[in-house]
Amino acid sequence: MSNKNRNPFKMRASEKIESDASFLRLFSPEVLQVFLERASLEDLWEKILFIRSSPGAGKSSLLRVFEPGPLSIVYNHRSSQEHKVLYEILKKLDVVSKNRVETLGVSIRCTRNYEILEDLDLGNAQKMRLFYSLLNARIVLASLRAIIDLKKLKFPDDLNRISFEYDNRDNFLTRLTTPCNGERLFEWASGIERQVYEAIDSFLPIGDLKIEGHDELFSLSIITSSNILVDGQEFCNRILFMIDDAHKLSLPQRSSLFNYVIEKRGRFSVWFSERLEAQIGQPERELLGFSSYIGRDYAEINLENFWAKNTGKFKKILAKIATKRAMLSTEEVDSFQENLESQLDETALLEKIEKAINLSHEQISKVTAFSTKFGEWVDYLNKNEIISYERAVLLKQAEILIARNINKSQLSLDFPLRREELTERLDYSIETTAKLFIAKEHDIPFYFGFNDLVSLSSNNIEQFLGFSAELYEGMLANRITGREVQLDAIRQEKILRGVVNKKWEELRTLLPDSRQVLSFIDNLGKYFSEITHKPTASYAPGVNGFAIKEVKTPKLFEQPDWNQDDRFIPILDVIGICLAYNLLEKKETIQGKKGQKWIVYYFNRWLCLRYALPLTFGGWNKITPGNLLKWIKN
Amino acid sequence: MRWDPYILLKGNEVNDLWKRFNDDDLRRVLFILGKGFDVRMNLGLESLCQEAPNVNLVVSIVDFTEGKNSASLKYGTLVEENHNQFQSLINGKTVKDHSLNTWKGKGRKKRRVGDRNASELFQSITELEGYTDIVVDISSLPRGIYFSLVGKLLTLISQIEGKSTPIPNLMILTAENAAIDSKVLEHGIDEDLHFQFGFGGGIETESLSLPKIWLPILGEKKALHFDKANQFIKPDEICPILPFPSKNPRRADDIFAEHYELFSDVLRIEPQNLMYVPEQNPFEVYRKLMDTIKNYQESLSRLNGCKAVISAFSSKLLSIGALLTAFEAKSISDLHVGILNVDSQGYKIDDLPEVKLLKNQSELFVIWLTGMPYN
Repeated sequence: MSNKNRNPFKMRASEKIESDASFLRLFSPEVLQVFLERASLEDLWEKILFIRSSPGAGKSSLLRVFEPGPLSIVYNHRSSQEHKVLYEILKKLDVVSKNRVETLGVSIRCTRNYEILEDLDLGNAQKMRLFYSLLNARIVLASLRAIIDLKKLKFPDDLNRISFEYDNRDNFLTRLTTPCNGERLFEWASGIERQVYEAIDSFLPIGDLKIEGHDELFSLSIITSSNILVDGQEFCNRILFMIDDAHKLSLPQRSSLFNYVIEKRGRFSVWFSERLEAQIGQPERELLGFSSYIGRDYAEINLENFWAKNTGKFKKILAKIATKRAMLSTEEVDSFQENLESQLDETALLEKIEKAINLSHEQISKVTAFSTKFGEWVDYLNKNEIISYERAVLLKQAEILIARNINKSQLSLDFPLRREELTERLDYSIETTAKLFIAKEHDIPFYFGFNDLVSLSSNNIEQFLGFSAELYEGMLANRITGREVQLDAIRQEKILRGVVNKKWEELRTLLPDSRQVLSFIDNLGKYFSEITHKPTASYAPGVNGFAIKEVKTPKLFEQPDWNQDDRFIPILDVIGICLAYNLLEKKETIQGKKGQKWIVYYFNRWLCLRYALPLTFGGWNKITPGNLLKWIKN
Repeated sequence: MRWDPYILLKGNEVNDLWKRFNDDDLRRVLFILGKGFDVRMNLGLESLCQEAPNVNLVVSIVDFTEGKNSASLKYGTLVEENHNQFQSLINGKTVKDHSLNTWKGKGRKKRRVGDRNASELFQSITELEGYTDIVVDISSLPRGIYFSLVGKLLTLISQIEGKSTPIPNLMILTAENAAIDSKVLEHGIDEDLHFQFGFGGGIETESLSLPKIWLPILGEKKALHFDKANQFIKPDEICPILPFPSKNPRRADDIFAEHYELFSDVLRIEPQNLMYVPEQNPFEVYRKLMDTIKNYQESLSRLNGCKAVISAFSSKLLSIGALLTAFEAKSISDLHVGILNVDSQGYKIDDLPEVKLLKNQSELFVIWLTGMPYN
């Protein structure tokens, strides 16, 4: 791999970065805030923890910090400026102490080969026994590797310096005599893994299976810091099992596994990370059984929701990530945020702004011509003749307010409105709407500056890097051509649109059932755009989310709920795909009678740019399943 | 190496082979092909029936489903046209129909099982007894199916090698046409990748923690496939393979230019890692891959060797080189070679009238794998 790093923003996700040192160089310790909060509730280690998010939100990077490689680097360089902050946070989490690394993170990645066990020509019970034996074997193997890494031992030569002291009091182990050394333990687990692997990948019939099947995931209980010693000594205080990509397991496997760890309530620490998609069509209670409850039996971190509640912190983290990446470039553009202009260059846009002002004046004159009601407003708006963006926005706001007033004033008396009644009604949402309208009508940038870039990232670090990579490319191009490095608003929006268009085109190739999903998103986007850009701006600053509302007409027989109706299965499938591919964000909100709870599906913010919608949350509409189905099919 | 020397026939050489079939009364040919929308579906069978009208022929047609929402469903008329032509070609011949499910499950939990099911089309060597020649025409079969199907046939035939049972001639037939390939676009590439059934190569085993070398054979418009596979494999070293020499001498450069950003900025691949293979010779691909993997194995012997992953983002013809390499590696104890292809859930034809016109410019290739020349 080349060391030359022209545009480090293109190294997309931290977990794909090769060395632990490079990973830490780009890692922002502040993201561990999610764990600090859980630690303060004292359920970080004691309860089973589910870490959920859309792809690219940073789950794997979060887990990688707890692996022995990064932990050793941080501990060994704890006084260095580079790692001090991370060391202090890890200390607060009880992961390191001043004496040693206290927590050994063991990472187990789930892949399709667990699910493939379901395809073997075996009974369900036997399949489950194979699943547990493969998982036990992999946990043992991953733990031994993690110990070797943490203690800087040599593999496989130093396996015999590890001893496994478990006395098999529970008779879990039928083909391994304990106590034994690490070498023997490794052989035993490798044997199981090899045999299962041969069974799932063989062209020839598997014949009589002689693989050791397990009834439970006992590895979590027997691989403990007191059972495993290095040179006869305990080497850490806690072993943390991190089971990544759990959504790749089959439904029976996930269900059995989750129920097992929750019911067992063992003294082990287990984190599961999985994509949100795993929950579609599988309500949590259904998966875990009715005896399990969030909070009591397990804890959950939804990364996007966490950052949505901590937007200020997330913005700071993204700024740090951007700075760290820019600093790595070999092209001498070592800052990022500062190179994104946050204000419009009005001189460059003078002609368009003037046109916007004139058009608003014309429109206001036209609609107020036959009424004295808005006389004071019109006088106020005409008083100033400066051509500025601020004035264009003011006029557009007035245009919206006048349209609203006319729209609802059929029954009201035609008393003249005071000037104050205009200024009092001007607020942030009307201002944002006005800017959005001007942007669409006159091609004046709306999406630019670091704050908008953060919003466009939809709390997803990979998405942020995707946009930033192209913006940084623009900065590099400016530098090479001898211009000022800073990107103006026009250029920024042009680049962002380019990224959005490319993402949209890629969806045709990337998405399963792409025709249906894109039809759904496109119809939804056009609908949102239509109601957002109505002259009255009734839903200011705009609509970019929906909830599903069933309209039941009285019938002789009781109708099933829409999500139980086979006709609407395509809606569940399409929404599932949209969540899995991060096109929709799911949020719960309370509205209406008796605090009714609604699940609102918002557009990922990059889709807002495509359909000229605001980047704020909160604007959503209720849509019937019938309409959604129509939009999928057309 | 198992296929050194090798037999590769093309164009008129293929017709000459069929003529020899026609002159030999003892031959009994099993011809396997897929039922699909590819305009090249019947080219191989047509040439065989033309050149060898008297051959004792049994035709197995594999009808595979791509799912109810597949983008290629809209080419139902093409499938029908192909099938009608097929019916007229096999008039009077024995036909065996096989249906094959590509997917299992529904909605988001559905998973690809086509490769596993393809390997079950022939369960044992006894099903092949009596055939002197087995021809697998992959022109209208997706990669996910023909890799496992050919892998299974090679495995069954390997069981009788060295025994007194006559070894059938196993041949892969394909109608090559790079222009058509570039107009058939893949839609909805798989999110959930997995190693090709039978060609896992132990890559995912935790106990074998060795450096991973990735050898992707590249074609046009495969940046997303490449990126997706890279994220799945997480290789330690990448050696992209480009087609050269090729009919269009600039083809390798064009493919490189198309993937430049990915190679240079995202993955920072060293230029010396690029490799070249002739566009129309799968056996040369196989040789190059075997040599490369053995070289890496030797260079990394201090680290206990390596694992190699091959991905075919190229023409079907070149993909056979990947298949042969992974198959041979299965019998070499120290080599761990897996195949990771990125399948798609459907196809879209860019310019159908043009594709139909291009059909006759296709060239037939026979890749002869077992039997007479190798005995």
